[in-house]
Amino acid sequence: MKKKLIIILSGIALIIVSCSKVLDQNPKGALTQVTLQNKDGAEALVVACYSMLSNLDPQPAWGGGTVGANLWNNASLWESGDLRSDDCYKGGGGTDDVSEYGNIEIGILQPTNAAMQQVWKGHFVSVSRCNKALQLLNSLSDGDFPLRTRRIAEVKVLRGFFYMRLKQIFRTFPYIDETVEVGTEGSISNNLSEAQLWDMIIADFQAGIDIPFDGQDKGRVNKYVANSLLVKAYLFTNNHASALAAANVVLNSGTYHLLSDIEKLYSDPAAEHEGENIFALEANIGGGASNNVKFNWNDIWCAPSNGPYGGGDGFQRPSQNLVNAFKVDANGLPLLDTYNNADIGATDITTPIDPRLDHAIGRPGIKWKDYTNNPQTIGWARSEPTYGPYVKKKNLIYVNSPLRATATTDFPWAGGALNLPFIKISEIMLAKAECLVELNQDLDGARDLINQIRTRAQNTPYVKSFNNPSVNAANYQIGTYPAAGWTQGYARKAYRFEKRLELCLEGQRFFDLLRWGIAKTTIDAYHNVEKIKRSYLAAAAYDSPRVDYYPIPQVEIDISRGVLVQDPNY
Amino acid sequence: MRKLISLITLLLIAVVVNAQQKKISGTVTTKDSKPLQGVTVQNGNTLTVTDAAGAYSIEAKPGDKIAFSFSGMKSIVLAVSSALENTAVKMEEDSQSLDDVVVVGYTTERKKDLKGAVTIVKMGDALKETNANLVTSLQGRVPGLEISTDGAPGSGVSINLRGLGSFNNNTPPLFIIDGVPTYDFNGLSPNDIESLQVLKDAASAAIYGARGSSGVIVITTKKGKSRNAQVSLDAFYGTKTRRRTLDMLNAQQYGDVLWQGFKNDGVTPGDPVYGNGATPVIPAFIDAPNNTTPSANTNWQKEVFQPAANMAVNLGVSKAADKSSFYFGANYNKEEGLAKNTFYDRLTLRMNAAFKVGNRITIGENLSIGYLQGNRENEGRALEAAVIQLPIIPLKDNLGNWAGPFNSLGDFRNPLGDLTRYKDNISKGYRVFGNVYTDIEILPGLVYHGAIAVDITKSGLKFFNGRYVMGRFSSNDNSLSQTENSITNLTATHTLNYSLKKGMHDLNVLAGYEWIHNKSYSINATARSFFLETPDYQYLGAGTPTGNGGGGDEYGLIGQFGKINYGYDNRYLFSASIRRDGSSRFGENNRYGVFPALSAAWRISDERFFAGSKLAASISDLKFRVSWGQNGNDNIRNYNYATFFAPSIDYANYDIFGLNNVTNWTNSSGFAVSSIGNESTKWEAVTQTNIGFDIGLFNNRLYITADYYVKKSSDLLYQAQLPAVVGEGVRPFINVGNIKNSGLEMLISYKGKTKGKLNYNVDLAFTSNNNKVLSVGLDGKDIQYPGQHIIQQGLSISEFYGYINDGIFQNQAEVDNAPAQDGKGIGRLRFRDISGIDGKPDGKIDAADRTSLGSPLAKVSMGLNLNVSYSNFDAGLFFDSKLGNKIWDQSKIATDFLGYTANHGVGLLNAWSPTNTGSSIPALSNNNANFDKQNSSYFISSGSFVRLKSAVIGFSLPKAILDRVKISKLRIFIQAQNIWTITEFNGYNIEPLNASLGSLGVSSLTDYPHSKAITFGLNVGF
Repeated sequence: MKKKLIIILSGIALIIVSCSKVLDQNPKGALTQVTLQNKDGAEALVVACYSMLSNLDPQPAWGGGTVGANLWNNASLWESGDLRSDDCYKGGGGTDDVSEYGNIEIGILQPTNAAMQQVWKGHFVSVSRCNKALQLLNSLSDGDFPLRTRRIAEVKVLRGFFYMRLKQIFRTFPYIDETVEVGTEGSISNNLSEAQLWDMIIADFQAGIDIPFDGQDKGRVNKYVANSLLVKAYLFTNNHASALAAANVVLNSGTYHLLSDIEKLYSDPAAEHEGENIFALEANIGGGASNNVKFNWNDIWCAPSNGPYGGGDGFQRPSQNLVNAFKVDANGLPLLDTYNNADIGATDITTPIDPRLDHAIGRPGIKWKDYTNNPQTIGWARSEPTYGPYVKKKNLIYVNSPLRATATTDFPWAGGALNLPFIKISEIMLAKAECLVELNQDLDGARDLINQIRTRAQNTPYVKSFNNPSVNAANYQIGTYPAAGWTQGYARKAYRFEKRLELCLEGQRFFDLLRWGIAKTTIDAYHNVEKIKRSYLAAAAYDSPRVDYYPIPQVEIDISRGVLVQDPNY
Repeated sequence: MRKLISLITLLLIAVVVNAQQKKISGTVTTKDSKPLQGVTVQNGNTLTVTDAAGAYSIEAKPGDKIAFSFSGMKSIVLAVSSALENTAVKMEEDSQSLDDVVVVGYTTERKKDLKGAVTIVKMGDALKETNANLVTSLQGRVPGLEISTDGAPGSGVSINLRGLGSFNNNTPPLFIIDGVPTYDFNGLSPNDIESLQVLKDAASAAIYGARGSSGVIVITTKKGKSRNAQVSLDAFYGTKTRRRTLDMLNAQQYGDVLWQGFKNDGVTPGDPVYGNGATPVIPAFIDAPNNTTPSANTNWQKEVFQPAANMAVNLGVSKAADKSSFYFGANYNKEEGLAKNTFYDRLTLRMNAAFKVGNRITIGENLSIGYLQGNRENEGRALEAAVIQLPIIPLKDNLGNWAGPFNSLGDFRNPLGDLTRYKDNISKGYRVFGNVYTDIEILPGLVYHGAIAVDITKSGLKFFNGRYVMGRFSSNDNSLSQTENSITNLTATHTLNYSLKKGMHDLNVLAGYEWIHNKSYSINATARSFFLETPDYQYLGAGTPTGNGGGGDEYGLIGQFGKINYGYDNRYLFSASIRRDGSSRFGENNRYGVFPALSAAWRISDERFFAGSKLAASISDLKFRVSWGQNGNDNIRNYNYATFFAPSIDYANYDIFGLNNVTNWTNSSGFAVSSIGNESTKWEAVTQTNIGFDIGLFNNRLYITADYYVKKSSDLLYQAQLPAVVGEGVRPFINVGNIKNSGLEMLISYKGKTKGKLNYNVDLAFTSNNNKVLSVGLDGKDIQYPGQHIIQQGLSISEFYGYINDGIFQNQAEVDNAPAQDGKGIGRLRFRDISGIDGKPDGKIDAADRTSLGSPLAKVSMGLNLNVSYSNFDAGLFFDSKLGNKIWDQSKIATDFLGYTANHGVGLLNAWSPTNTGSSIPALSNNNANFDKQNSSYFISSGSFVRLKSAVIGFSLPKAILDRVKISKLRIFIQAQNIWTITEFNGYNIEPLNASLGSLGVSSLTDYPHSKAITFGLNVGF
């Protein structure tokens, strides 16, 4: 009896399998490269590339943090494309609220600026996803995955897109493609010339010029997206002839057209696939709170504070200079040279202005989209004494849209399913006009394109007075350019001005000024006048060519151990 | 393997032999014939304990040796002769308990035979303090053991032994609780602890192999000892208050400094709340045009913080009989937090029992069940907001809602509002920890020990976030998220131990095998839009589900080990051990590590030549020790070897169909790299040499233990900093760098007695450590953190890093003559040009001018305990001190600078101006053009301190009174903690937790600083 007890109890002590199997542990809830080596795996990696369009801040994947907790990568690139130009101020809770942006605005670009570091990081993660997808796609056969070739082309276009943005922002960077062995990316130096980098980018876009446009999978890139990106890349490299050819492919396709209602274009998710957007961040509100990352985070940064959405951080605030640019003469034409001689008052509704002003920019006293409680008040403008009374209005969803992430004034405020456009047909039309003017080829054709855009603005339903929907909210006037006096020089001013009016606050202005070679003169002139109105700009300066491009982030230089060489201007 | 072990065990069990035994009984008393209760009486593996009358009874046969041991008394060994029957034993007091048996590395040794550096903590002393946390009670008592705590309920703790030798300095020492290894000592009540040893040198810890590099703390819980049931009851109650309140601006002062800042920047002052006038004006309401939130002058610190009550009750019951013993412990501990509505509760129950089956087999168990609950949610942010929320914001608006910021009033939430709103979001968990073991004496001296340990933790949190309005923050919807975590840890240990004593020879051989398997999982789910917000309705099913999540983790470790101890005549002591461990965290080719150790000691005081010398008159004990050994560290993330992809709705999905509202993402789910692996990563190795001596003087009244060590850590496991071009994914741990720690440790204790009834003890624990980075990073030179630290060859680990601040620019000439510096100007901070690309000053301030700004590591730390007892009174003072370290006062960002919208320190009223040039705070400015707030020596301050950590006075009722009520002991005491500190540091938290190398020595407003405390307590024994 006693011995039995002993045996039983001793047995307990040995019951656990003493076996080395316990050392073989595989990751839980995760997949290895091998398990992804098939059609479904390839599709999943391709989707992951697309997702970088909406989420350039891959914080969770870097360990810790929640998406959205760190919003330092704007799909719209407003911090790099608008903030450095004459179009906008930083905004937010004061000059020191996200001082990294404050420094970008006043032209202090330090290599340690964390915001620039995030731009670098986010884009290289995007590139890395593309390369990983390409590596996997290359390892499959067409038999394994019939759509393989098409997906390869899509991913290359996306990679080109991310690299082009890097190129717009940084003068130099290492170029890594799918042929670089995984793990050795850090040994690639930034020794390619700017022209070589552009060649790589253009080659990626060219890979996509045969992707069929079949109306399916609206969020994917197609041949017109590839051609539109080619237009941009050729313009950046001053290759107007090639840009023109690519623009014609898009414009002659008959696939895209200007929408008749600008307000819907700027506010209504239902209108986003109706022909004006060629390529956009495909925002979405499905999936509940944990899927908030799929909406457009730009909307949270840049929505007015205390306004119709409840909160909003009130960044990206239109400059007085930009507002003034909407003034028109008796013929409804812009004051190309004198627009900034006098200001439009914050609540001025009598001076003749282009009707697009009150669609793109919120002014006190003017009706806000579909918001019916009250017209805009001065309180919507965060830090109004510093950043003035204007707020960004375009590309913010209708307040009452069922596709807002919340129907209330709760966080995420203006977050919603409204796509953020990367390329619209209007940009390609203006690009073609630019090519025609610069090639001095068909100036009337250029005028016609510009006038098409102005005519749309003329015919769009205007913003109405809040209290009296039968009258316009302000004195809107807009006309088309006449043939008389349409010289190359005049046409050049006209297309440049039109692009500013039509595409303001969409992350383009600074890059345009730079490639037009007028960044320094334009921005110096802007600072000189604007600092009288916005005193904090007294500290602003434009030190060209140093600040034409961001420096390579110091942390990347440090980690690279001599592989990366800082932009010589820094 | 398993079959073999089973077979051997069965064979061994079969060899159960009986022999002729007789009973020996008697009493044990002190020299003055007072009975001693609880004396361990041991004959081989037979063990008993004396009762209240000092009586014992034990089986023995002629030739046996019966050992009597009792803490604080010199042991006595009695040879059994046939005549021996009833024996009275008188024990003599031993100041240093050298004969105490301590558990070290799967075996026991006499304290006097220790060859390595082991500190034995007398729990009785430690418990005079009213710390509910075990580790807190060790603070300042163990040389080499640096413990930092915070003031949070259920305190946060960081522990470090013998300097930082790893990049994973959040690796705590390995705790061996009743033989069960764990890193988590939560839920262990200090009152249940019988003895505690800290194994500091590699030779002592090497037997724990892979996990011993941060040191090992061996804990043995209480066992039944006495034949009479013993009952002890200990309780205390106290109140904590904040040690330091930061002086912040009031509503008008805030406006004033804001205005001055604008003026200094050349900007026209203006603010949506304070107006656009020449001076700031506090409006009647801060939320124009709604006008429901009146302006206020709130002292947020006063509103958020409270005097916090804390209490504990401990009950211990134990009893022993011939063949069995048990101990039962119950402990309840409740701590309120200094921030309102935060608290921590702990209830632990312990049941230890052992039985003898026959003469050769002991079967026992140790089991504790802990229930923990607390509300610490959101406290970090509330603590910060309590200091820097703007005073113009009231507690509540006129509609009864919590008030919050509007317009230009920043982004901080109402800290009291959140603490109140979340007060019922209590995390709860329980932990079952214990083992079942058997000891079988197979042959005389050969003992098999087998144990299975379970350690199961289940914890969860139900977090409800109701609808609310709080200034510009508000929510018209509510949500509930629920999380459940489960961790199961199984450990199986088998050892065979053979001991032989023959003449002068004393041999002990150990062989063992250990198997550890850890499995965990978590589940979380969220739902929103609950119709009601009552607690009865707060269940996931009642809302609209919005998301589920979950994950799992698994880890395995297998160790084989052996040890030989040999002693000759108590004079020459040797030990050698080796352990081979395999860990699942490394790739197949680097899975195993081997960790050897050697140690030796020479007790010179037992040599004949010494006994004959003059020295012997004053030196009662003198022993030299030397040891060498290696330990490992595998405390990195699981699956470090593997690169893998994970699906994530958060960051890899895309609405590829352009549908705007997709709820089923199946066709547009992406996979992205979530982890980058490295197959060649291997064990971090720590090699340590230790030399030391123990010396007892004046009959061991003065006892000094001193150790000098050199500890080299190599192949340091470090989470690689990879360039962005590598792409995303958690970075792998790789092996880079070597670090050396060397230091001197001393424990000096003196037990004194005056002619009267005054007894006093003085214990000084002295530690000095020198840390040096020998090589680091892929090129051996440095690793920079994005924050304020650098790890650089030749410096100590993780020194502060930034620009040298040379005060403030006083005039335009200084500005003009200074090197180029973005935004420099009068009243701004001036940084020093120390180097350019060629290492020489180059006339501009840029990244090359950053340099080391000092170390957060203390050069010397000390703990001093003074204990006095006189008649029925006792008193104790406990000082601790750190010297030579620097603190980075991160809170200066908030207190010393305008900028981000939040309140600031009153020091700004005295900021630099052309008429106040003596100020150390730079001129007020709302922009950061000069980067005044960038990492520089401006934020550095000395962190040295000397502190009276605790003072206690106790009174024990005289025995005459106690006898009448049949109580053996009744002591009442009052204790004060953190009452007095000398330091230059005037920031918030003098003792930041060393959570990671990137935050070492950084005092920030989210810290939970120490509190002052007054406590009353009671100790009763029956």
